[in-house]
Amino acid sequence: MAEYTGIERRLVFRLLDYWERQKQERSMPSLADIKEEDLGDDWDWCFLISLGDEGENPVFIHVGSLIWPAERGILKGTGVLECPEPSLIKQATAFMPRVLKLGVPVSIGGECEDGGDKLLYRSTLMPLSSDDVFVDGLFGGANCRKVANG
Amino acid sequence: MSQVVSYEVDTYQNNRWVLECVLDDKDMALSTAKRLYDTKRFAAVRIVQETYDEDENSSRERVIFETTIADRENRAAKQTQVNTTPKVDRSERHPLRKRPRVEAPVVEKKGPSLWLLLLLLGVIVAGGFGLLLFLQSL
Repeated sequence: MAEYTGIERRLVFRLLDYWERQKQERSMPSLADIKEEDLGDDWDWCFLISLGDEGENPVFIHVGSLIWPAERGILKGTGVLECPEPSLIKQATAFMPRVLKLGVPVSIGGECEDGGDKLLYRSTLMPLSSDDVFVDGLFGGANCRKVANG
Repeated sequence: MSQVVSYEVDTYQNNRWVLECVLDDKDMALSTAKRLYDTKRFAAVRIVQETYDEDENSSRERVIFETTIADRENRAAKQTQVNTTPKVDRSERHPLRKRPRVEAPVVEKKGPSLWLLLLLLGVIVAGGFGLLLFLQSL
């Protein structure tokens, strides 16, 4: 397991805190509770996924520019299962089934490749629900640093 | 053998453990558990380490951290006890008194005195000298 310095952990903690605050007395917040203006600079490290009614075709409704630079193309509106591999966004959404199964935030870190670079990353994925019963969205975030060569 | 370790942070609510989140980093799990506990919304918080063996498709679970309200109260009580331990008022202290000097006990001398020993030595030397002269005169 890779060792992480504070900077990778801090984003995850901030997002977990935010998710916790936004849920209030519910078991999880809704998609509408996640607001760009609340997250400031962290918004660019975040992504939002809508699962739709059946949850069978998850679609990105926001992907931060620091996770997926705009020059690589637009991921907003595309299916999560179609996101390119290898990439940080692919890695950060890889444990989506586990979050859907457990209904709680999950945080995973490790090594991945993105744009030809080898990265150490830490990501989190948190469930969202508009009725507090069925998970119909996901809020995620990830940040990383390049692994020094040699 | 390939094993995947994850840490589940649980809170105790309404007489049952509720899963709050899952992390793959032990330090993060500890921080999360402590922060949840500090909110004082839960009677207890624990971390369960789950080790999943991919080859055997089996998992082991063990609690690696657990803290309860009782722990907190015990700590608080202990802290209170430490804080309320009466301190000695310096003004009440008595000045140190010197230890009374104890005279060395007088040891009663036993046996012959030094003068007597010297006299004996003188007699022996004189006797030896006299014997030497006597032998020389023979």
